[in-house]
Amino acid sequence: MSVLKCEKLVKTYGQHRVLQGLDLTLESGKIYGLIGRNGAGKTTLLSMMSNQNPLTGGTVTLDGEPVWENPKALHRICFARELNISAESGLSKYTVKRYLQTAATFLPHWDREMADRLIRDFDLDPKKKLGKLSKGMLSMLTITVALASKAEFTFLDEPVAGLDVVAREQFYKLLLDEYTDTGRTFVISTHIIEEAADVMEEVIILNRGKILLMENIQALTSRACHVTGLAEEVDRAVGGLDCHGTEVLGRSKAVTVLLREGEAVSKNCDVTVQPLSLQKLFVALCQEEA
Amino acid sequence: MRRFHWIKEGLVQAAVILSAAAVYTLFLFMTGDSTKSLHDYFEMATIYLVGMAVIMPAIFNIYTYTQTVPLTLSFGVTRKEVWLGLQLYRIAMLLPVMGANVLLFVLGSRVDILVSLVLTLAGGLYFSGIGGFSGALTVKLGRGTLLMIALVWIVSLALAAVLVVIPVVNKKVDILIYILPLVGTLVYTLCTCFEKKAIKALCVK
Repeated sequence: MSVLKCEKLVKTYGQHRVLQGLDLTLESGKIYGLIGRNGAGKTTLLSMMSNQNPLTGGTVTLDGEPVWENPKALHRICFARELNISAESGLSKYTVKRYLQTAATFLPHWDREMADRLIRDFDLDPKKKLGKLSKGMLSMLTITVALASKAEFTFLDEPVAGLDVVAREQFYKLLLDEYTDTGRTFVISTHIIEEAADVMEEVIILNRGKILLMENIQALTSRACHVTGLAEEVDRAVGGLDCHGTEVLGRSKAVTVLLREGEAVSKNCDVTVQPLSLQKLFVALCQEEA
Repeated sequence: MRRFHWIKEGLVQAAVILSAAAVYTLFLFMTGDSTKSLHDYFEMATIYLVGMAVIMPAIFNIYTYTQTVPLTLSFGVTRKEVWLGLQLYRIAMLLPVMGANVLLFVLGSRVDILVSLVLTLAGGLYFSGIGGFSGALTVKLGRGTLLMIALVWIVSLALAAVLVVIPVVNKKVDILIYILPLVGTLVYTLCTCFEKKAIKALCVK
């Protein structure tokens, strides 16, 4: 089993510290969801793990070998990011065909057949310039590169940005098909948490340059709950538990609880206990941190 | 295949420069008067091509930095490979232009072939280096670099002019054949060292 490991990762832009000594281990054969608020450091983390952004501190290794400037390791990693089609990036003049040809030149495991099929499925015109593509179409192109790269570790940054619901479903299906066929590792950074939660195996919650939580999604959602009721009843029910995102409205109170092994909300109290979605849990955790 | 990508980029841009020069020469020929000989046309085309060979690689180098370099890095290419690729790209761009320059020099001015080769190589190296340096500046400094690049170009053009004019005024033109390649190689080396550092720190956005 291959392991991509980040140790004490630090990134600063001028005075601003984006990543603060972050530790992360990614195992092969999993789909990870990377979620976090805007500016949490998601793209920075993914770009540092793929040699696209120099490290300020720490190390990134793949099976013990450093990733930085290591062609052997980089051949196994692909970071398909949101395309920056600004005038200064110069990419706007590229046609879809030329862009994919360049990808094919540099990505060593490129599956041309798959790329051609995806372009047809997404109804992308190969002769069209990138500058003329909509945000959704650019996302389709990014997805095409990510899947056709056949890289063992594939990172997708906001892959569904701008995609309509049909195209999003198409993407999730393609991703699952590819994952089932090849067992590749995918890391998907997204803000559309509920949809992506269905395809993720593990979730990584990043907040202010630190990993807030990393866990199997099923295990996490099964131990998360939302407790509501009269404030004194809620306090009695959740006493000693790991509480987050407390909301008070008059005499009522709502608390998000993350139960540890063997723990439970007290049944002798007059409170309502409801399961919690990943999105709600994320909001509770990040609101509290903010 | 990966190396050929850079060579192809250089050759495409060389083709643009040569096509522009060819069109200009044809234009001169079509609109010229009968008193001019073919030799005169070649001489005029030489001057034009030299100008193009100076300015165009500089522009192309900046363009490559903002387009090809980040793109290749985003496909998992190492910075070292990108740097080496840039050298290949420049050679591929310069060689055909230099070849055409030498040919036009010989046809037009009947200058010694070695002299014309040395002069065009020196000019190519000098301005390619400056072009690369300007490109590296754009990635190093990000926005607000236009003024800086303009300054770099004013200084480098002035330096090149001084290097040529002083021996000409002092009637020591022969010395140019030694000075110019030396300066060209030195400037190119310094600029590519700076480039190497700029690329190493480059962050793909």
